[in-house]
Amino acid sequence: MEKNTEIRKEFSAAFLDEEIKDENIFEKTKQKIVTDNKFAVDYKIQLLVRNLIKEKIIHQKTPAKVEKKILKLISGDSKTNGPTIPFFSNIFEKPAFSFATALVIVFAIALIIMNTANITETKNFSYEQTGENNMFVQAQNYFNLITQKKLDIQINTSESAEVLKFFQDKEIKYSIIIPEIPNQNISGAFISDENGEKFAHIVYSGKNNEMTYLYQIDESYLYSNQFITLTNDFINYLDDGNCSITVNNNQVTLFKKIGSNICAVISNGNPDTLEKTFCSQ
Amino acid sequence: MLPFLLAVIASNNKEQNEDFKHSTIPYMDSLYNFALKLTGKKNAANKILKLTYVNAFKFWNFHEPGANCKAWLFNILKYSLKISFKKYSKDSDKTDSQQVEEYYKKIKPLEVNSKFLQRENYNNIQDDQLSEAILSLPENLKTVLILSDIIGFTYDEISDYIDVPVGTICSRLYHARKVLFTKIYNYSAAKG
Repeated sequence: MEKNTEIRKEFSAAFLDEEIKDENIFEKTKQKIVTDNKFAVDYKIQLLVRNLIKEKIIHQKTPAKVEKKILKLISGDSKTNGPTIPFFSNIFEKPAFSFATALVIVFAIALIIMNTANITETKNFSYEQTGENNMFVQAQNYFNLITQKKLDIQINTSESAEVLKFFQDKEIKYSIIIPEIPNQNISGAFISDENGEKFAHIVYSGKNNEMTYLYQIDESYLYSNQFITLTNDFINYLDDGNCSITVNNNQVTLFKKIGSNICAVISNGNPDTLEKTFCSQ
Repeated sequence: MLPFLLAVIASNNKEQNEDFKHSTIPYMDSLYNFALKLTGKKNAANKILKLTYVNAFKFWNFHEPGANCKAWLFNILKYSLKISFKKYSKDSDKTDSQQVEEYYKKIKPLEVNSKFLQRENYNNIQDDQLSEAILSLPENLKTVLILSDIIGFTYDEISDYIDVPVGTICSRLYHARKVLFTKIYNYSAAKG
């Protein structure tokens, strides 16, 4: 009997917390609170303590240092467990020149912002892209080599899954995007190697000899500013979500940032189709 | 909408890292508060939190998309406590309600003056006094009380965390609040 009474008293906690799912027990508990003084006191104690905790206990914010340390530990862990990608933030982790580098970057960003204030979306960036390390130039060169059949397509397939597996096997260190292009299918893919880093290239073709070539890199490679470059104002333009399209001699060159990838697309196909496919992203 | 077949993943580290952060960082404060109230020590809470996140990241592949991330993280915290902070993870499952009852009888006041059931009598109680009282609770009561009344877990979630039936959770929470009331009652009574 005592045991039963004790169990029923416990229901005052569940009643308060709206955790009684059985309607019958719920009603009986409610009735008990109204009619049984001891039970009512128990309920008031439960209510009082719960309210005091909710009112008085201050929820602490995780100390910023601890949060920062955790984020750093996580990043560190990913480095030891597998291939790394050159995160922008890694620059700040090198203590020997982190402060100086940070200052330079802040200054550079300020300059970029000031210099791009007057840039309009119609600006043609192609004239500013020069040098063999420039992604725009590289994309043009690769496209020409493909059309002249001077470049070996390393895998010939129309299956995107096979292309992805190919890139995985070749240890590409960033996520790959494989868009579908209307009236064209994937025909193959290859990788390039710059200073030991591998980069992904996909080739599409259509029934009427259209050919589209997609070269994509993780944007972080551009920040390291070593073996792949674009001019700062162009990076900034893409970073703002803009799409750059240049049409020249029936050949369209398009640049667009998708996710964290900078995509260079060159095609002899319909510019409108290409624009709709990539720029409305 | 573009027919983008987004996908994938040659080397998935960056994506996984971002997914992990996006999914788990919102629960960081809850985990920290739980560890803090459980241990009463900021340093210990910091260490537990770090260990929880490092372990969670290691085992992130085992977390099924769509599964309750909060509950999963708290289980990782529990696992981390068991492995590295044993003194904060005494197995309280064995403590039955009889023991709790005996503990309560030892400390409860002989008679509860009804005026002490009024909320106004506790205006002067501050966070640190209440936290200290919570900290002094028996481990099994403390865990349930923190999870329910500070972190906001449902009985089902607490049941999953402690791995005992919901009925036991109800009983422990009931007793935890009564014991805590006794402590703050005695404190208020002493203050007059």
